[in-house]
Amino acid sequence: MITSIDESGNVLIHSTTSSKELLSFKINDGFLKTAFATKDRALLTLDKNKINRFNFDIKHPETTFETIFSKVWYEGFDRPEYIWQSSSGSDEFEPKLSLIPLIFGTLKGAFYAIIFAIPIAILAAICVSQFMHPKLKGVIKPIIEVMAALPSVVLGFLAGLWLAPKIDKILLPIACFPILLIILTIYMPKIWERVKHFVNFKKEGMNYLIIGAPLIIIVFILSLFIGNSLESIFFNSDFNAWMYESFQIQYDQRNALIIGIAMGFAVIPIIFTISEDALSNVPEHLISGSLALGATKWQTALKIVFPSASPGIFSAVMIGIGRAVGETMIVLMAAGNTPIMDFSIFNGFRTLSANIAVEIPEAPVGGTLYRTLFLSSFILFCFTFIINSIAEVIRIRLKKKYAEL
Amino acid sequence: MSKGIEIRNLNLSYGSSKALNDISLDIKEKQVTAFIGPSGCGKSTLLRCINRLNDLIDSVTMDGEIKIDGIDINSTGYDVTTLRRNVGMVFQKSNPFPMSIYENIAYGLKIGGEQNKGKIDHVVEESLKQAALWEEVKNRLNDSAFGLSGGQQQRLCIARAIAIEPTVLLMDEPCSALDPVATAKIEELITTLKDDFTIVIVTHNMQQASRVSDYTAFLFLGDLIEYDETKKIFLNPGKQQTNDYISGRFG
Amino acid sequence: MKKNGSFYIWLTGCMMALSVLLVSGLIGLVMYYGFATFWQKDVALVQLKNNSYIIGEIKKKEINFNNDLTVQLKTGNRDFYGVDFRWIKDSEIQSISYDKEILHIERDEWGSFYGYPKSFEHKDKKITYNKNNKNEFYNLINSSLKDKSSIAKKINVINKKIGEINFKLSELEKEKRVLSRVNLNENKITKLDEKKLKLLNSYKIEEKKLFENIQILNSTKLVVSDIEGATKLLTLVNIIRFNLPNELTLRGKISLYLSKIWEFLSDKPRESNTEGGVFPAIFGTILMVLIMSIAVLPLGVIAAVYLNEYAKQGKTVALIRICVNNLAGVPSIVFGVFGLGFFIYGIGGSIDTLFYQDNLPSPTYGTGGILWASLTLALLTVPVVIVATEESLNAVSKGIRDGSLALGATKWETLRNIIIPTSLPGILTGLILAISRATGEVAPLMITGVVKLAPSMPLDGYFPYLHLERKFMHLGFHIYDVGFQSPNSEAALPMVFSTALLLILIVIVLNSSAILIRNRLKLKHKG
Repeated sequence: MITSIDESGNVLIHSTTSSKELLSFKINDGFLKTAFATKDRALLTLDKNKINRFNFDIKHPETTFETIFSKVWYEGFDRPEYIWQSSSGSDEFEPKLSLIPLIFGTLKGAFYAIIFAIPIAILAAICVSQFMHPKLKGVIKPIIEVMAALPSVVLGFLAGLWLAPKIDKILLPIACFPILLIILTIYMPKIWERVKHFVNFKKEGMNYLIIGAPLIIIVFILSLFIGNSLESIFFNSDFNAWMYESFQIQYDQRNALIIGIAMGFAVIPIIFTISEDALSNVPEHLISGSLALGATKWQTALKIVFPSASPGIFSAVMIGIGRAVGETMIVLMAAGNTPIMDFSIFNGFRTLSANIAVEIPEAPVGGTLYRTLFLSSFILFCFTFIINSIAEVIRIRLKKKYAEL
Repeated sequence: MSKGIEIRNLNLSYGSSKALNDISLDIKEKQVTAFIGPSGCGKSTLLRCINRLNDLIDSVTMDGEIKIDGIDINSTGYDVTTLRRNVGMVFQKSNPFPMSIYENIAYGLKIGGEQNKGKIDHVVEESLKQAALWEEVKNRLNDSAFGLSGGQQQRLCIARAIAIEPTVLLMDEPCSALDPVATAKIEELITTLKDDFTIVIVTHNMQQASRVSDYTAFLFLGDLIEYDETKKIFLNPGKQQTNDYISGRFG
Repeated sequence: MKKNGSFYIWLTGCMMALSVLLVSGLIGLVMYYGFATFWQKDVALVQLKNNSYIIGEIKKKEINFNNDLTVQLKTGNRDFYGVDFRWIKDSEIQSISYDKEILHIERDEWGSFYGYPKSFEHKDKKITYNKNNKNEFYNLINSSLKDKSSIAKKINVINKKIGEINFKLSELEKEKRVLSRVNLNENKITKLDEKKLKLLNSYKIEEKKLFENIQILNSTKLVVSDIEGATKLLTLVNIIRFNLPNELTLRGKISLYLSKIWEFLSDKPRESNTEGGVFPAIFGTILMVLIMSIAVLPLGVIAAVYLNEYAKQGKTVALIRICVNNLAGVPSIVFGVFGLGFFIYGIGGSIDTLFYQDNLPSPTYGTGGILWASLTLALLTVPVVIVATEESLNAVSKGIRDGSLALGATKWETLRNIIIPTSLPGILTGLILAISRATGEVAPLMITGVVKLAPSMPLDGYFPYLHLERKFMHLGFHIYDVGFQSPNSEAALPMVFSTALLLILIVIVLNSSAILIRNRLKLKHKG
């Protein structure tokens, strides 16, 4: 804090960090010398015959809208930056409470989770709603929905303590897996043509499970093998080190990739259930109308069912984003919780929610940090509330539309 | 090679309950054939056998033979989508797709692989004219199909069905949801369409059957009771049951 | 291919299969590790090429970053080696054998012990181990362990008495403080002091008894040594359980396995939660869910009944419905923050200043506790109950309603006698789903009263029996705490997996029962 006094006794107090004018008052008595009391709580002035004491209590002197949401030039830094650093060992420490890195982390985590979840959830929903026998659907749908019931603390623990060390070792095979999976699907119809004469699945959709699932496992094992071979041939058996040496890409063990998978896991059932409902509820007569025109099931699904249900799918994605933004335990346990701003999928981050969980037990009640944490939960609340409202309104409209069709 | 539709010894059941019982009949080419009978007699089921729309229902078991222009439609090598492109269908409840009028008609062509814009434009216009709808909609082809009235929607569905040039047109109670004026228009349309298509219509309105059809089949509880020229069925039915139904004693 | 879309259909099919694989894989993984925790593996005696020996359970083999095949051994004996695990290069291993003499002891501190017995001393009897008196040796330990359990019971009783005395003492202190503040006559205070003296005396007697019993336990000594010959003296207090892992028959292993599962479910945790059981956590979870149900059920049902039956269906109600649905999507941590600000510092703080003035500044209700946690979760789950209740109220057919009203019943009578009973299974489904959600939720609890180790349960034998202000343990938080806050996380991992398995099983059972009830309900409405 900087205090300035002019000769006529006007006192101005400014914060050095936020350059906010904190207080101004006038001393009428005249003075010879001035001094600050400890902890910036009072001003002492000396006039001819006595010492005067001016007590003041400035609440949250270092915090303004700007210090929370824009770059601040802190002591010891060479340029203005967004920083979250709420406490440290020394007394001289000035808390740096920018919420931007946390908001960034929140969006980063949600982004990777959604990227992971969307293709799996929506495609699976199309499969279950369009290409599956109702009885089989009655089994598969609850199984996928069980995912939604899995406590996030279990997902977080598995992600942080089991998956993260594993992925660390098999990064390249993991990268190979989706590519090989696509290649497998391209050949799948041909494989199926060969196989289908030998097996007889009465219920439509059984073939994806009985033939698809084992092949996916085989592809996974294959990608482990191929990935490991690639790693030992091209990258000197250590892909992570190679990445660092060649591109300066640092690999944190707990990173956005892990979160993408773990939180994606939590989001998949949400997107799946809502999209599946929207897809299944497309009126039957539209589907038979299209089939009667000689459209294949796929053409009907793509051109009639999907467009009709797309608002529902959109709202499913919105609700998925809402969940990913607010998820706490998974990010707390598997995101590393470093409040840095870095787009890299291999770096950790800290989200608003995890930040609250980490900091609020230690924040002094009523203090600046405590209030900032309340502000951040207010931001979370508003964000999810708006997203969910949009999704809900869209869903209600779709329901009406289906009723009219 | 015989033209028209040949149905031989057709049996069909939903799960354990029998819906069609040893049906055999020949539907003549480019004529209107009506299926009549009380509700639940299996007339719609029989109709849906002709374009294999029953395939969608899982519990259906079927045997017997249906030949269209001499080709067995249930034979393994025969592609169901080819069949359905050859056999158009109009449903009880008009079911325009949630798209524009133009897109509704172009849909069948596009999924058939037609990409030539000029050709599509031409077919859209021709089929709308054929369905006697062109004058009413030509200025709003890009509007949503849901803006049309019930009768117009049903004619749109007919136009959509004939746009892909099928040989057979199946109609499942096409007028049951329409008012008398709209019904009259559709009936008029049916009589003009029979020059180009073999039409099979399911109806439980006997007046309608007598007005539009050349041949009539009376079904009762899954059995084909009588099948003959419409005139004969209505004026001089061969079976007592037919007579009872037509004179309104049951049904 | 484009027309019939077989590639795309297979793509959707594969994604469906992938989702099913993900779920079953995850549950399978947790089950595998969770159930494996309690299985006593054979303990290997590994001879290295440099002629030294290591004893330990072989955990896994892995290729490390140097491309060497390495073996992970759980060597235990943390007091000897400082760590529980050791990695050994496969190439360094000369041979692996399974010595039947190897003794495995579960201890109350320092984790497992693997090694050899030396001598045993119990009630003036001293016996030195050799291969010939093996049976006699272990029988003696076994019988002394039985003694231990009877002594432990005695100690428990004494501890309870001491607890009671402590409780009375603190009550006296409180009374005294009140008296001295109100400044009443000295007489009463001296009376209180006399009482206190009495209590202190009986405290000393009990304490002496306690020491005597502990003395008995401590006088029984087992000397063991590790493979390198370093000896360690264990008293009965230290020994939880022992076995000869390589000599165990399959039956023995199974019964050991079952007894360990029982210990897990019914016992208190040991060694900063990484060993022993999770009973307090199970208990805390159940109690919290119960209190939550008591709060959420009336709240949710009344709100739903009002919205569905009494409120005028218009824009306001539609808006309220959207908000209720949205509430379900608000992050749980936000509810936690709300609970902290509103319940704990708001209501709890006021309760403290009004009723627990004497205890201030140490808060009673003004800090996290089971009541506040339960209420926070009740807020979190109320939308679930409202939505389910409304659904089932809607499902009651109009015919039944009209029938009842036509007989001259009032709206309230119809509601009470016809509609609510018919929709009861639906309400129950909602409650079960709410419970399932609350069971798995951790984030809001972390800031409203859950702790890693609660000194006392929220329900006990002292008045008023149910202590709503106490902190509690929770299965979900147990996972977080043991997995991430424990200093020895590698050794704690099996415990975390078992707890996770237990939690998943509870949640899945709850959910499946909700689904079953709902399906049966659907059938009933169809019929």
